[in-house]
Amino acid sequence: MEDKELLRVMQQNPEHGISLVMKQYAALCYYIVKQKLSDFSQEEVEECVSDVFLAFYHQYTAIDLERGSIKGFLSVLSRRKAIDRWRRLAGKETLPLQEAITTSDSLEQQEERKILLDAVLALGDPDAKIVILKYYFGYPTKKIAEIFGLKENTVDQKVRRSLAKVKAILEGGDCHEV
Amino acid sequence: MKYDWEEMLDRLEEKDLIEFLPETLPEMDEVTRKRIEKRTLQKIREERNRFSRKQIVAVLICLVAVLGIAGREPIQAAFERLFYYLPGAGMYVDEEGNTLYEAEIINGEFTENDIHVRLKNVYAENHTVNMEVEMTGDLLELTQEAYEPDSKDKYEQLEEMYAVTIEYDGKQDKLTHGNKGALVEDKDNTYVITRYRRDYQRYVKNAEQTYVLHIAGFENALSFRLTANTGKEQPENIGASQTKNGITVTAGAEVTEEGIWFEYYVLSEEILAETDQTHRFIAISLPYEYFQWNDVPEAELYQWRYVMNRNGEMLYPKGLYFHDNLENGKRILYEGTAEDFPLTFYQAAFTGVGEERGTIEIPVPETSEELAKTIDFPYGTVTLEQIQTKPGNENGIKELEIIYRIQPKEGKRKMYGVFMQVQEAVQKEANELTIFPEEDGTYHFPAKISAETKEITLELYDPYYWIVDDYTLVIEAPNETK
Repeated sequence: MEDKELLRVMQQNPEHGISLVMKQYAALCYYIVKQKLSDFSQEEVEECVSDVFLAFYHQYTAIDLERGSIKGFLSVLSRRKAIDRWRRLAGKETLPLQEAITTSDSLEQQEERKILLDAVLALGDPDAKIVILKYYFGYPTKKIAEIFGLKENTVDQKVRRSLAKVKAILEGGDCHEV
Repeated sequence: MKYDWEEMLDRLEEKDLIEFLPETLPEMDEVTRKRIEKRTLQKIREERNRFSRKQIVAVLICLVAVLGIAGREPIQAAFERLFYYLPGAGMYVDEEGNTLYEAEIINGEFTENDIHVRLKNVYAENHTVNMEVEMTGDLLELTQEAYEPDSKDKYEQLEEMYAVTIEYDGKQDKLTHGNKGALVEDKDNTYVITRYRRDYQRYVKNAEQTYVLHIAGFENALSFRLTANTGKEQPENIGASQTKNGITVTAGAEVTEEGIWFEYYVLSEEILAETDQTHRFIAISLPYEYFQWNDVPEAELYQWRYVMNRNGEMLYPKGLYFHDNLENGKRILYEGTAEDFPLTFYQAAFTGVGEERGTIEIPVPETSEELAKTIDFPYGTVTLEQIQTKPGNENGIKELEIIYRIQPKEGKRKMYGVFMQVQEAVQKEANELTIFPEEDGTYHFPAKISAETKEITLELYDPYYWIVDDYTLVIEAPNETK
């Protein structure tokens, strides 16, 4: 179902709507959360995903389909919720979710994001997409291999090399193909 | 400078991800997905019910009947209700002979400084004047601190900027709002409040007079006059109407420059989850016989209420915010013109809520025990089949699960759900309607009790049932613009 339709159902009957949104996007959120909470129990992962959709239920009216999508909105929400839970579980200082999501980046943070994106984009296609699918969206190697028509070990190799390149750039060193 | 790759990924924003969003979505196992979905819906309902459940419990605690059902006739038709139609309030049911006042709007809206101000839902009951003021436009640019959802700053700022005063009886007073709401939009990384609505109630000695609302910062004002509404309306007079099983659905529409303002009302002597304020956010209204949302074809799912034009095309609401909740119904702005008439309004089966409740005492087994106990409700029978327990954890908490079935009875009303609560439960507020049956048709109701508990008292209340007929109304022509 298209985003516009989903939002319309959310508006007309939010509980029906959230059920449809979950049917469509629960797996996407699940893998994002699981990637971040891989050291914790399945129960924590599921609880976190349900928190993602509870937050979506409260915030879906903020989605602007002209500039974004439910998929993008949920992706960021999932990552932020997972970070929040990870911090709590790992005994780190916890930032309130809203603060984490809405606080405007400082110039320094904006610059860091740009550096990261530039480093990832420098990998070229499809390596850039593969590395983000792996490390942001938490896609299993098998799924990535299916999407790009590659062998699983090829995907693993690309991920390893891409990560090394990105890290080298971020750590301020030159990058050489190995 | 060194950067942490993981932390930097954490900071990515939606706009950064646009070109990386996967077209192919992953799959996950259905059991896990359904478990997460169920948990999410529980959380949503817990939030919504936190307040209303307390009210229900406070009232119903007096009605507890041990080991039996404190029943009532399925439909109470012993008293005649008075249906009034009040512009701004919609179809109003007055059960106690109150004096109602309708508003003649003198100046209901204006636009000034690119801000549109609209007066809505104005009426009075006895000495209480009800009204709503809605403002749209770039109302307030927010600082980051004020943007936080629980920040008081934004409402304080809005109130300071757009304070409302009411003028009547030769005097002028500042109004204090009841419910309020604001919509924040992200405009090029600047958060702006673009919609602000406030409900007001004002006690007046003599409601029947003229009122003027002044909003700070505006030269224009809103105004209306209230007059007693003495005429009893028949629902049929509002527009197309259909009565089935004691429930009347009526709908009308008017055409304005904005589009088609469509309004519908549901009048019933039963408690309907759809229209009853207490239950509106508790019950799930589903098309009859569809017990699991996943089994509902999408087309059916969101066609449980819709409006079609003369060509059989679905009309779409004009934006997310053109909805007014009215007494017993709703007013919605659709995209369309007079050319779209006649309109067809479809409403699928309603959910009715019974007031019966009963309790039953069950010994707590070590692991599991067959129950085979039945509790009869007017529209269905609940059979408790089994109770299962898990050993207590280190905190002395034991989990139990009651497995039961609901067998609806023959007739136009068919029970499909019931609330349950274990009186000894350690987290009573988390107990909920278990609306999702398993594939074998059983329902599983979980509860946590102290490991020391030897016997539980299970309470069943608020049975839910479908009223199986649907409604199709044809609205031949638009009403005159009110």
